[in-house]
Amino acid sequence: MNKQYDVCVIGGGAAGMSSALGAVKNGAKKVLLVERDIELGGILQQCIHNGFGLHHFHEELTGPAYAERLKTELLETNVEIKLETTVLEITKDKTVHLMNKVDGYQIIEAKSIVVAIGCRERTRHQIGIPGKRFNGIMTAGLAQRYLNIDGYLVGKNVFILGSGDIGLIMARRMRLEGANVLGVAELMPYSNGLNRNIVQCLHDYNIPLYLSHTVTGVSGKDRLEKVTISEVDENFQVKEGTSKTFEVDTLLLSVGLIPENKLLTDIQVEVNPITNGAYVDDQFQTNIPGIFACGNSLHVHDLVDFVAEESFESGKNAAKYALNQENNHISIPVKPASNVRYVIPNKIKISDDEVTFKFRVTKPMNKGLIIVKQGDSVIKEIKKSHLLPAEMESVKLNKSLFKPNSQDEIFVEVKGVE
Amino acid sequence: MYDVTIIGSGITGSFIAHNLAKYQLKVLVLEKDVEVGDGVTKANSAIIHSGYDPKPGTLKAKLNVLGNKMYEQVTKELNVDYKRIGSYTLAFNELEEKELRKLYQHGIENGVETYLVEKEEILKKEPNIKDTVRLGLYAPTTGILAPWDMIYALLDNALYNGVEIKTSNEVLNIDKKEDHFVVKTNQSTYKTRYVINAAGLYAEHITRMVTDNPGFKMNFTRGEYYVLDRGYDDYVHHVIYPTPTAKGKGVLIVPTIHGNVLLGPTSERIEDADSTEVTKVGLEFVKNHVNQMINNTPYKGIIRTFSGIRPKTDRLDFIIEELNDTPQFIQVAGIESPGLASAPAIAKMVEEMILNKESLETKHDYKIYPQKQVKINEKPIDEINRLIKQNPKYGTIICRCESITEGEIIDAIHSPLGIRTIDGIKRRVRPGSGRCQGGFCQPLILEILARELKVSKTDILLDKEGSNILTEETKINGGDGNE
Repeated sequence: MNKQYDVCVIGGGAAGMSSALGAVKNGAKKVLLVERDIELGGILQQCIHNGFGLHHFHEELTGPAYAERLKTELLETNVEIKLETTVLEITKDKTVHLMNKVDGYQIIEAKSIVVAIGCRERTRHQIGIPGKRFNGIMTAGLAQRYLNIDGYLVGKNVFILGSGDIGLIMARRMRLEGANVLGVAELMPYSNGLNRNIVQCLHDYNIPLYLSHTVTGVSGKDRLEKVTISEVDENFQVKEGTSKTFEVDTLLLSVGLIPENKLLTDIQVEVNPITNGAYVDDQFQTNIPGIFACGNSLHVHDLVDFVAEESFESGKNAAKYALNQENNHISIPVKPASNVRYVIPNKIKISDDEVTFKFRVTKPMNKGLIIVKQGDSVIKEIKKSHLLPAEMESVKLNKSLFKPNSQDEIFVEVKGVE
Repeated sequence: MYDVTIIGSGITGSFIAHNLAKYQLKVLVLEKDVEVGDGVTKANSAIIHSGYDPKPGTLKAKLNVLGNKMYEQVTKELNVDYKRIGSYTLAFNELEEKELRKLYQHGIENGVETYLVEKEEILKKEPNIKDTVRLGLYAPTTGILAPWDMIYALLDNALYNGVEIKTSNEVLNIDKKEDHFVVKTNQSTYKTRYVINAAGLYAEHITRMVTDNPGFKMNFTRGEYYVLDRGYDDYVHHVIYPTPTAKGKGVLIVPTIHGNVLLGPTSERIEDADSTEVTKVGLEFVKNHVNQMINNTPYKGIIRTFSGIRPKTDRLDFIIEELNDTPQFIQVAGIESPGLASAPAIAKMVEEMILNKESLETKHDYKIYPQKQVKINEKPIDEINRLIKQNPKYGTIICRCESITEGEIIDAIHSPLGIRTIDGIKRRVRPGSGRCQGGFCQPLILEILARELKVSKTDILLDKEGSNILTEETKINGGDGNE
């Protein structure tokens, strides 16, 4: 054991940098940030479009510019940063096994650990697109990296499956670099991307969006030559006679992101099957004391500002834990109820500070009533218009509203309002 | 003039090359694809079957049993991971139970160690098996390995001992001369005394270059599979077979040597040797059949699907013989399951066929290739640190899912055989075979390949010729403003 840290943050993207800032600004003396890439910034580095930072910095920044802001702030602190360093393993007693070409394989000790390692893209294989395994089908994020960091196009005539934000942004991006983008197909009857991206990336460039459609065939020899899409009904069954074929050499997939949690599941951290991220309390602490999770490795966010905000909090709490400032109040479970897919945090400790519930609805609703209940008693009701699964909702409440001596579970639900 | 030219670098061609490397022979291996072993060997269940299943008296039965025994030594000699994890073949109804007892007899006749086991014993060893199971056949000698690990070891060793291997060489024509053949490929022309046809799916096609009577018809059967991520160690511990039917061994559940699990295959007659698609119907079929045998299948852990094609001839047995009307043309065709298990014995048989015709001396300087493949994630910490001091690139992880370092990738590129493609690197060293399927590491590997091979990034192939990943550079002359 060579070194001891108060807090070790794993991942140097927006979440990791914010978390390290949260830790160091809340009293942690020795903070280590580990990043596997050659520079800080994570996926922000390949997001060269603008629109980042409206909430946090009150201006529109590109991804690299946003990363630069956090990095500048971080470099003013005494956080120790290890680049080109991969964490291979963490343990329940909070050691971190890491490796790089300079220090070799090292085991360090930390009083608390924050896992902020983002997510990975769902691939063709995971959604079972039938057909041959020729080249020309890849995830949108991978194509984005090739284009924006390495400077190469992966194809000339493109179709996109999935209307997640990465897919929408890559539609515009490839069009701007001279590729033809023939359309975007979305399985759901609504888009999974932010509304502003539908407008700015598709409408502005006359790229058609085929809602309730999916890819039913791909063909070609060594390279993709054709993509066939078909309409689906409300049970996602393909409707006969609705197929359309596009001659393309590239199919980009924007079909979902999966939080990376192998480091956590290896040590039996409980994982929410809905989000694929850890179950956390309102400190962002997992079921293993002193191990925290935040950012997209906890749940997939739509805005980096929310990642930064949440991760700053997780870093702050990790610092508190390291400095033995944690409190030991009762934890009450928080659960999603009608029309709510998931809620974070998954449990809260009753105290006198505030908690923010973040959640997503299961379907688009024009008008809705958000209800927070404890047991049968309604704690708070909030009227809302335009609730969309693609847009994360949040409700901030003072914890003193909850019954202090009750073990009653808390529910977050949404009722449609006519 | 070559003494022997082997067409095809699959598992049989590679074993034959390995065996012939011992003799004072000039041996050539021709492979049409960019990387070796890119056909039948690439996509199968990766099992070293014990040998109770093939019909007694067939070549399949004889060579399977013999091959299974030979794997122990050859994998040790060439330092290839191999595990005899054993298998259970399961019967769920009366009919299957009867069939299973017949198989047990096959096992005895073929000389394979097997045991009939009761339900309780099965459920004790494999708790996820459905409790409707009635009887099992336990075969302790069933083994698993990675077919391509085997091929790389065999061919590296063959190369080291003077065998020549030429990839991207598709055989277009074979000219039969009095005492030799002239083999024309898309690259060059080679003279050779013997031709060994180990062309897998294309065996009939190659045979027709020298005779109008190949003596068999090649059919193609496709098998589709799922691959589960590593980390489901409690799901199954043995190879799980249903009771086989006339169609074949059925849908299996197979732990892999790398800790994944394969589910599959289907068995569907197809027309083309290159119809390697997966289908919705096929994949559903796999799920249904898996669900009939076992509970708690972690489908959420699916990281890949693939299909492979078996070269199933109308003679229903392996065809290993010298062509009647074409002496010195040795046929090694129809090597479907249990081809992988039989490969060392097939090679031995071919070797003996040549020995019967030629008096051959062994090479005085024959040596096993001292494999230096470093596997960082299998080493103890102080050993890792010693290696990183020697070569810092062993300290940089490129593939995070499988913990593979830059040093290991560079080693593979510069191995005797050499690796040129993204998929070749994946098969040899494993980056890209994990959860993200290359989503993070592919650009890094592409960059390392381009750098080490000194070619442009747009030249890097995923796999076969024409599968370039990057189509066009966008930043040419960018930034200097002098265009």
